[in-house]
Amino acid sequence: MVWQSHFKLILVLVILSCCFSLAGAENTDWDEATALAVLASDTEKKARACQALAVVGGPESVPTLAVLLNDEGLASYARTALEVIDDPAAGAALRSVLPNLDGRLLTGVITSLGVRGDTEAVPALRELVGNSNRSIAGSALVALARIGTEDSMATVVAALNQGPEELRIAAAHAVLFKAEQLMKSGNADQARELGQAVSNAVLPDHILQAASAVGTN
Amino acid sequence: MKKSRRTFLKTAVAATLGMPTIIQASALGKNGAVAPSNRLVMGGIGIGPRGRKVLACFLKQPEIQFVAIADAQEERREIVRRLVNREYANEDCYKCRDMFEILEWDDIDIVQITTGDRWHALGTILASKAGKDIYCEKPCSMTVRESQELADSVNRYGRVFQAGTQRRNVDNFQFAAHLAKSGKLGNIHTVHAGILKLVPDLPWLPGEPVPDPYICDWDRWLGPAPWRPYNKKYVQGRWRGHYDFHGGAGLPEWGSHTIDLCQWAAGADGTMPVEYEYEGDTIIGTYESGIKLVLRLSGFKKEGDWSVPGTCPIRFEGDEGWVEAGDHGNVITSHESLLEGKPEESIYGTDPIKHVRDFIDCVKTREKPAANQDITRNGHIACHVAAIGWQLGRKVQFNPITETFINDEEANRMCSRSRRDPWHV
Repeated sequence: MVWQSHFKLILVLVILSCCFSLAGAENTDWDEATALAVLASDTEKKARACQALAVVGGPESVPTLAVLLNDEGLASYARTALEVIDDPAAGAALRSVLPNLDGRLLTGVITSLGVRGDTEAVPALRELVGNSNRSIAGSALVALARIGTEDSMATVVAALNQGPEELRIAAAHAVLFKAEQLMKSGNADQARELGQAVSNAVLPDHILQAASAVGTN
Repeated sequence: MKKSRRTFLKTAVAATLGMPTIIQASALGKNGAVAPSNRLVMGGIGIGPRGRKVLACFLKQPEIQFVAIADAQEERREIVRRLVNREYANEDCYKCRDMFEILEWDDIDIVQITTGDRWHALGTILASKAGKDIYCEKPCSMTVRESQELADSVNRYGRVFQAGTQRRNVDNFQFAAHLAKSGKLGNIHTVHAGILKLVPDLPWLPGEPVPDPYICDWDRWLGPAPWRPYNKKYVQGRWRGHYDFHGGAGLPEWGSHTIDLCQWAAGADGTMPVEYEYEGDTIIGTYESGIKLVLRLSGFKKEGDWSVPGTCPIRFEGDEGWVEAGDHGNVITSHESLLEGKPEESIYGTDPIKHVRDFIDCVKTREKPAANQDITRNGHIACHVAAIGWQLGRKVQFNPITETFINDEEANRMCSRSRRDPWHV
């Protein structure tokens, strides 16, 4: 599997385009089994194209990949590529679908914005912390901690002391993650501050123990 | 709200079964058994054929009280429930589909994670966040990033972790590694690891009707892996060879054992090779120390003076001698004198009994077991890096400090995969 030429990139995009155009083709001779097999194969081809774009894709791949963020079968393949394409267009594409998605698909896009460390997503993610779906709210907290700016962390730290226990725990895990990043980058004092913030919250013992250990090893 | 196992057992198990919970005398610490205060309460997450071999070792330990199994497949849940109940002569083992039922019981101390590879790292991370100590079957990660996330999470929450790379605790492999580190072989210049032939990616199996989730919860089985149509062969074990389910093109299958042992023998537990080159069926890694790590895609086939003592063979070569070991329990050396102190007999290489004991001892002392999270991180990254270079078809260079490829964006982009929603860490 060698993905290193522009020719292959173009080939991959052509395959993806063909997959989409085939979806509209008519063939009254097909029986159900054949049609289902083709559909499954079609999905597999798209999945493999996404896997290839995760290695060689650039900004020109982003619009095609973004279409798949609304596809329950292919969204995670598309996100793998969008998480690693080092171009602002990938982050913009992920942010642009936030208002149009819900449930698990929205959770996935939120997670990808966190993986990208997309600072421009912070305002939208702060709003999503208030989402009534706790999975969405929790993933927004994690994403904000991964982005890790002062602004984004203020929201996560505030969540340690408000709302249902499930979200306070999610906030604590997110804060401890950021504290660990700070320790690794040599910012022990800031890390300990975050650990103290977790220690001051009402949380299960094992999380409080982890918080008290921040900066001690 | 966290649940107490006792509360749970009282309200769920006893009520469901419509019968009182009978507590055995041995469970109360009589008849020489371990007292309740010293007991370790255990749950299982994903226990199939290999998992049952591991579980059997846990059940032999006097401190262990196994109470619950979570598995996406009812058939496997029921096999484990019966096995445990037969062992304890009661009906107390609880079974469920959702691992969170187990992770939320705050008096479960340890979990055994023996799902397929796709769940290993995420399961370990979720368990460490829930305050559990973890025994996790190998390979423990699908990617370089998962190897990092696993170790970071276990360290962050101060948990005890043992990867199922049990050969660290198998006598003949231990002897070989100690011999290499003792200096009796001279300066170690080459360590050899047997690995299975690599598989790039198999075609998807044809879609079949998705079963009732109670029988097989396909969504939960897939977990963080990307969606694809259901086929029963996947859940029966034929997920191997599929890129989405089997990390590192299958290289970590044996490599997580044999490369791990080579790292140990080379004094490289805290690092990984800085370069991999590919020559036909052979992958040659080089450590910063100059020691070579040689991986054979098609095995060693008794070449030269190799004896290949069983599956997962390893060989450590110094400038004054060499040693070989494999699953058959043998130790073979270049000179008879090197066998001094050799164990009288060794357990078979696949037997995790001593590895499980090591884990339990460390759970009690809070020390790190032989295949702890940091050793696992490095050994698994060594595997994934080798596999990525093989997939790209070119020599790769790797920085073990930053844990990134050098001047190779494509390789770096292969270090991670997104998890299917809603899973994240």
